[in-house]
Order: sequence, then structure tokens, then C-alpha cells
Amino acid sequence: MDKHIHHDPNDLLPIGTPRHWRSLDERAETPEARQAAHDEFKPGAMDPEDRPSTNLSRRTFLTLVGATTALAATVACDKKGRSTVVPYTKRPQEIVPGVANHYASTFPEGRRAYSVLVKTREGRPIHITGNDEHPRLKGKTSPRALSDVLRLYDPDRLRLPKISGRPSSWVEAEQTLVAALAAAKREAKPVLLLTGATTSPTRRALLKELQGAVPTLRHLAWEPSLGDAAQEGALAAYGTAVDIRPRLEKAKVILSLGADFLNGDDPEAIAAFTAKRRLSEPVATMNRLWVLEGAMSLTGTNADQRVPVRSSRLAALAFALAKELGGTANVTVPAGLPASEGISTETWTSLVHDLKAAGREAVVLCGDAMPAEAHVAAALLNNLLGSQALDIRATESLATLKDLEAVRQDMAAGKYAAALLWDVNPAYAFPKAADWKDAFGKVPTRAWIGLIEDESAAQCTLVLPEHHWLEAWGDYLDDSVLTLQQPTIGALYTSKQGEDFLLTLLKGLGATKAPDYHAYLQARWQKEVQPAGSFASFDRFFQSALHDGLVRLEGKATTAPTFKSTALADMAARAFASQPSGFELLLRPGTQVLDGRYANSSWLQELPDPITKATWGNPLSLSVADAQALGVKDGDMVELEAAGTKLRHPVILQPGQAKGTLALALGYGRKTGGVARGVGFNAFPLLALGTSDPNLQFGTKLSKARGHMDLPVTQSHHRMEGRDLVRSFSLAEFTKEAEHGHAHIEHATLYPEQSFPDHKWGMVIDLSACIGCSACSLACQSENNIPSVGPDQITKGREMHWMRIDRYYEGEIENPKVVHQPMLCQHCDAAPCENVCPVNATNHSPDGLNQMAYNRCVGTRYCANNCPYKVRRFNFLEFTADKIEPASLVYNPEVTVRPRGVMEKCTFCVQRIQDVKIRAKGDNRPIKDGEVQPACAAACPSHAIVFGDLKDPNSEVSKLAKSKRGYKVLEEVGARPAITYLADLKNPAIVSAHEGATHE
Amino acid sequence: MESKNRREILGSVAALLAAPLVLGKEAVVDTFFKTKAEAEPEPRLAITPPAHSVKRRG
Repeated sequence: MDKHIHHDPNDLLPIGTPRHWRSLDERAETPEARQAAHDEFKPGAMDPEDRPSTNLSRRTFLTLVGATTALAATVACDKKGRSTVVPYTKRPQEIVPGVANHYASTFPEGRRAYSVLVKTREGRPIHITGNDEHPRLKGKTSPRALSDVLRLYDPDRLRLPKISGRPSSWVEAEQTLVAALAAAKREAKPVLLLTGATTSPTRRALLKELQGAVPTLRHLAWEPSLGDAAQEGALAAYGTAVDIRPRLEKAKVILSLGADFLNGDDPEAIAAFTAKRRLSEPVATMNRLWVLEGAMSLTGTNADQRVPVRSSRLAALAFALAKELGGTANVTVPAGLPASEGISTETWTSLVHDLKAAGREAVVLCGDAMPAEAHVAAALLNNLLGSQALDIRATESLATLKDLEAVRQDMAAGKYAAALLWDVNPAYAFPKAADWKDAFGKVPTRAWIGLIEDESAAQCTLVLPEHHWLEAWGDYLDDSVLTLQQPTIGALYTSKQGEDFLLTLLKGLGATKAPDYHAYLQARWQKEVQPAGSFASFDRFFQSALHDGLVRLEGKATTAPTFKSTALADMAARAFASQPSGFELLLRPGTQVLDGRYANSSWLQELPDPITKATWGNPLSLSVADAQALGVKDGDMVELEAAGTKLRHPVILQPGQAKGTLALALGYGRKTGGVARGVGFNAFPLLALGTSDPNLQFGTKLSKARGHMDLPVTQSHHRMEGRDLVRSFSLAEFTKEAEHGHAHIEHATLYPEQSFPDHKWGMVIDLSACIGCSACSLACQSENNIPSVGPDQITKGREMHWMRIDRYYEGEIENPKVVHQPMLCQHCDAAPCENVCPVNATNHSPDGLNQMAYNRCVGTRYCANNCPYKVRRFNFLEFTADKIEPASLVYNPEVTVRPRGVMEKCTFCVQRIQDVKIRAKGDNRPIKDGEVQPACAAACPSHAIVFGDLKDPNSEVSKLAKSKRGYKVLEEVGARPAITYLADLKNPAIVSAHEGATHE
Repeated sequence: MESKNRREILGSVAALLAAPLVLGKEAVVDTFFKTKAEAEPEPRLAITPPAHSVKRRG
């Protein structure tokens, strides 16, 4: 035993870390789980069945090749296969080969609009990040925004207008529709315009003009992802539809009633929530998140105190809470609550105490898919608390399923003369799709404008290609910030943006003279946006706005809607009403695909669900207890009956899910799209038409069916069995640890001490801030040309994500705590992978990076075998060979596209490091702290990933690496990783029995 | 010995005949016969810069 090594067993494992587990098999220590722990690669990963089957041995093959080589020499001088390089005859002014341009623009998604920066190379967008000029987003954006550059180059994009299935021209299509609109106007027959929601004031102005030109136009804005119940609740509570934005920087206590505000869609809320959790010292002012929910959500995984409760009972509990806070004088809370919902007195008392103590600094948020009465109860609670931690703004109402059903009936009766669908897909998302199609088919003129031909386009006579938002103009209003959208590339196809198409219709009807939407937008901005009396010319003002991507509006503050108690008694009665027996089914938008509009994105399909880690599909999740009662395990098929519809569906067991509940993601089971077709199951038919809350179904029947499906799940492999990987403390434990200190192990080493003359790049990842949204993983895929491999390869463990998010459960199955841990190449100074490469394809750079020489790699995979973190990815196949053009335009030219047979892994975005080094050298200055931002750090909405120079003692990364919460994963192995993790901190109200126990 | 040499010779001849079929069929055909002109490849997508846009930095 080396005398220099300090062997203190207590230092190897931190005090108070219960055992973590990643899957039910691992927890139960089944023989399969034990075997899997020993396997470097999943069984089947190296199966050769992907190659053509042949009895040819390697020796015979090489013998045959020898003759071919001789013959090949005879045709070596053949001039075939030569292509021509054509230089620019007139080089575009702004494009310098090798230099990236950045444009500010906006990614619109329903009622949200994300201000972004788009990086382009040689004129084509390749990467999207948040706009750092935005006062609230501060350079962050949603994962779907990051991924949407792929859809610009989607090979399934419609390229030409079509009339009755044959290629046509815009002129012909517009003439046809103008004639139909003019006829409808003459005959006073209604015309349907069905669009998605928008926050664009200019688009709204245009729609208003169209309404004026065609008085019988009926415009409905519909968002399948938002559900109807939230709007009904808002109308009851405030008298108007509302947009509620949490202001969590003002919140000490947050109560979520099934609200998934940490799912990545609201970077501002994520940043505000996690800012109070990145503690270097134990302080008493950490916020506390209570989550009451049926199905596990990403927000639930980040809860300090989570209580599994059926979604249908949330409203009743919320009214009972309101009673405790002194409200609801005219509401009688039934006896037995909350104990009848399985909530202990201790938990209830703590919750009430927390809300009362926080007062105005408490906020209650309700999920979109929750019943209307839950929304009313949440509004009541916020009113009683006087909560300052949310903004409530009146907004326009959206169409509900009831509205669409009324339209369907009118269409079936032949009332409509024409219909135009713009960015909506009712033939897929309307619950009674067959009835919709029948009725829609009776409308004489049916037009559709969109990106990719979908189920609704198949029914239309006029099918028109729309610009991608990266090719289009627009503006979007969010509170007092008006963001601009500008083209970052000329249109790839013969498409138009929807607004230009409407303008052409207006011109055809003699109602406008604007040449195009760009001119229309500028005219409106000149009139209504440019500050009055401004000295700058309008051109200058507009160019400045385009440069920044936004304009901050100064105007009078709008009055927030006030809470009305008129509907309280009715809503309370609904909340307390008993529900039919049977399972309760929650239908919620897919985390990645939303309502199906992104289903054709392979990046999003392959991104593991943050909780189940399932990819390429939407298994039905149910509680472990219900699964055991039914006798099913992961992947088994069940028959689900709800809303008069039956579906056969694979299941996935979900620890923490409330008993008696089922959860299913919408947005799958598409019938169109090269990527989306056939992936998962369409759950829209299960929505309950005619009820106030279609997303929540009661009395659902579930029975075991024959069959099994291998679910492409990523969590079950790349394991680090039995080692101290993730550390999670309660605030009390952290206080105790911080007082007593924690001695670090000093490792002796046989290797000479490495010197890093200029920089030593390192990273700190704060597990307390990481919410598991996977934005880092998507950003990495976009930046580093990481291929998507498909579900078959995922089942063999061949996923290629360089950054993965490991999800650990802790505690009991019924209600475990969850910790998310981003895992990537640790860039170890004593890397186990570097020593074993027979060709020296992987080695260490002078600035601390573990680097790969791809063209040296011969594919022994010894490095992956030796890597204790399991972060190396091998190209078992030519994963990029299946690309259909123009999909390869999304590649980042600064990063090699790896071929088959080559190992790859995180490079700390070495191309970005080099770019900054070159610029700094050119400017003759040192690199500033924070100037180098790998894609993951730039994308993380909660600032959980910090990158910098460990040689600079003043850098943020150096300071954080010394945090009392800091540790290195597998430090005892002696690999000397360059990444320091900061332990997760939870602030539970009730400390459970196992917290504070020693490690098993 | 003779049978071993015969086997080796036969093996090489078989390789010479079979190799083009496995890997170099087109090479053999093109060496001795003129082939039809290849079809024109699909025109590449034109990447044009946006009109009127203002960049943040480049």
C-alpha cells in the first residue's frame, strides 16, 4: 500500500447519501441487471446483421479484393465522377467563407415567441441560441427552438404549390382562392380560416383587414397543446382568457398543481427558480417547491416535496387549502380531505404552514391539462395569498374543441364555401378525425398552407408551401418587448410566408396595396412602433431593431384582471364531485414533439424523454403498483379503452406515479413525414369531446393484451454500477457537511505531473441547478454534427449523444426523489482511455482536453471499454449515410462528420475554444472569462454548466470548483477529471427517515 | 504438393473471375465497353443570402 495515499473510508463516500438507482431492474438487482452491469456494450450492439448476410469469410474476401485492385488500376484514369466547382460570379457581400454571421430572429410557438440568435455559415443557418439582448431570456431559449434549424432542411418540405395533386404555380393557386373568396362574399357564405395562436400584432392587423375584406370570414385560432380546461378556468376566475407568467425571483414557496413550468418551455422561470438554489454556503433562504401531481413531470422531479395525487383530486385539495388560508366562506369542504387522498397530516400541516409563512412570496401554478376547477382554485389561492410572484395578463381566447365541433357540424351541413388551414392539422389532432375529414370534404374550396404535407393537407385541393420561420419576416409581442423575426436565408423553395399569401388574397380582393409582408410590417412599425418625435430616421430605427432582434416598448402598464368569486361555488362542487371508478388517463403534449408538429424532427424523436428516457415513441406510463396488479412490465402491450376508442399500447412503469393514473403523450402516431410516420401511437382520439376537460379521462379501462415491444430506452445502459456518482443533500445535511468539512483524497500517481502552459479548460456542473431539460444535449447535437441513429439502434445501445442526462431515483418506489446528472467526457488528466489506444488516436492536449484524431482511430473500442464514465460513442454504422438532401446543409463545417468505425465523444467544443483563441490573438488580448462557451453551457437555461480556465484563479469555474458542494465523479479511480460536480440540494419540508443515514 | 499448387492456382483464377462480380463489376464493364452517359444529377439547392436582413455580428 502506497504510504502517500490517504485511505479514509469515510472520505470515499459522502455521509448521508442513500443508494441511488436508475431503473426498477437495477433497484431489484435482477440477474439481467447484474449481467448488464458487466457488459461494456449492450447485447446486440455488435451484431453483424446490419451487413448483408453472406457465408464469405474474411480471408476469402481479402483474396477477392486482391484481384479487384489490379483491375481498378486499369480504370484509374477514368475521368468519370468529376464534378465542377463553380465560384461566385458575384460574391454576396455579407458572406465571408469561414466566418460565421449571426442574425437575431424569433422562433414562434403558439402563444410563446422566443427571441433567438441564428448562426449561419456560407449563407445557411446551422445553429440557434437565445438572444442575449432579450432582457428576460438573457441568451436562453427552449429546447425545441434549438432543434428547429433541422426542420429548415427537412427533405419532406413541400417545394411547390399543388392543385388537386399536380404541381402548380402560386398565381394559379391564388387566383383560385381569390375567386372562391369573392364568390363567398357575394353569396354571403361563411369562409373558415383555421390557424394556430399568434402573438404577432402585425399578423393580427392583417387578419383584421382580411376580416374586413371578407365579412363572412370566420377565424379560429386553435392550439391543441394547450387544452381547453385552462381557458374555461380562466374565464370563470377572471372573466377573460389569461396568460399567466410566473415571476419566481419573487417566490419563496411555489406550489405546483400539475404545472410543468420547468419542462424547458419557460427559460425565464427556470433561471429565476434555480438562481435561489445554486448555494455555495448553507443559507436559510433557499426556495421550496411543492408539487402535487398524478403523473411524474420534469417539475415533479425537481420538487423539494412531491406528493403523488390523482389529477382529478387536485382541485379538491386546492379548495381545502384555501379553506385553511381563511377563504372560501361559502364552500363546504367534505370531511376526510386530505387524508382520503393519502396525504398525511404532517405533510398537509407543513404545506399549509409554508404557504401561510410565505404569504405574498408564495405562488400557486396550475398545469394546462388540469381541470378547470383546479385553475379556479389556484386563482383563489393566489388571490388569498396576495401573491406577487406572477403576472396575469388578459389575452385573446382560443378556439376549443367544442368550437371546432360546431364548425364540423356546419361543414357537414354544407354551410362553408371555402376553408383555409394555416399551421394546424385537425385531420390528425381533432379527436373524431374521421368525422372531421368527412365534413371537411364537403367544403368546395379547401386550401392548406404549411411546411410539410400532413394529414390535413391530404384533404385539400390547394396545397401550398410555407416559408420556414428562418426564411420569414414577423414580429411578436411579449409583455413590453416586441421581438422581430427576419430571414436568415433566402427561401430554399418556391414557398411563401403565410402573411404574404394573405396579402395576395387581399390584393386580389382589392383591399390592400402593400407589395409584400416586409413592406407591410415596416409600414406598421413606422406608424405604431417607432417612438413619436424620434430623431432617428425610420430606416435607422428599424435596422437597429433588426440588429438587436427586439425593441422595448414604453407604454402604460395594463391592469391585471381581478379575481371573481361568482363561479366559486359551482367550481367547488365540481371539484368535490366523485369520479367514476377505473383508471384516470392524463393526455399531455409530448415534451419533444408537442402536439405532433415537431414529430418529423429526428433530433427531437431521439432525445430521451427526461423522465422515462424513452425515445421514438410514447409508451403509456402507469404506476409500479398498478403494473404489478395487472402483471405487466416495461414494453408489454395493454388494451386501453377511453372515450369510446380502443388502443393497443406498450406500457412503461413509472416510479412516483399516483396509483390509479395513466399518462400518455400526445403528438405521436403521425401518418405523414419520413421520420414521423408510424412512430408511436396517436392519442388524440382519446380526448373527450364534449367535456370541459378533454385532456383528463375518467373511467378508463385497462387490460393486459398479447404482445411485447422492445422500447428504445437509453437509461438502462452506460451504467456505473454501485459507485458514488450523484450526491444529493437536504439543506440540513449540507449545513452539517459544511460545518465539519470534507477531506479530499490525495492520489499518488506514477505519471509525471502534467503542465498546462497557457490554459487548463475545465467545467463545473451544478446538480442543484440542473433541471434535466436536455437543452444541453440538443445544443451539443446541433453544434457537433451528431447523427440520429433511429429506434432499432437505440435498443442496441448505440445512441450517439455526447452529452447524456442520467436520471437517478432515490428512496421508495411510490414517491422517489429524483436527481438529474449531465454526463459527458470528463477530459481526465489521467485518462484511462488514452493509455489503451493502440494507435494513439486519443491523447491529451496542452490545454487539458482529451482529444480524438478521427482518422487515426481503427475502431478497437478499447478506449470505450476503459472509460469509467461510459461517455465514448462508437460509430457502429455509417449513421450519416441515410441522410436525404438537403439535410446535410445543417452540418457545422467547423466539426468533422465522423464515418463508420470511428470513436467520438465530447470535445469541450474545441472549435469554439480555437475560434476564441484566434480572435483574442488577433485582438492582442487575453481570453476573457466566460468568452468561451461550449454549446451545452450556452444552452443551459439554469446556468448549471460553467466552463472556463482552471488556471485563472479568478474565473467563475475556478471559484465554483472550490465550492463546499463540489466533488468529482469516481474520484477514487484516479482519472483526475476536469469536471467538478456540485451536489444536488433539496429543501424538503419533511426530512424522511433515510436522509442522514450512512451509505449502504 | 501438386494438388496444393493446383488449388492455389485455381483459387487465384477464381478470385480473378469472381472479384469483379463482388466488388468491381462496373470496373470491368467500363474497361472494355462504353457505357451510357450518366444521368444529370439533381440540381443543387441554391443558397441565397436573405434580402434586407441585418446581421448582429459576423
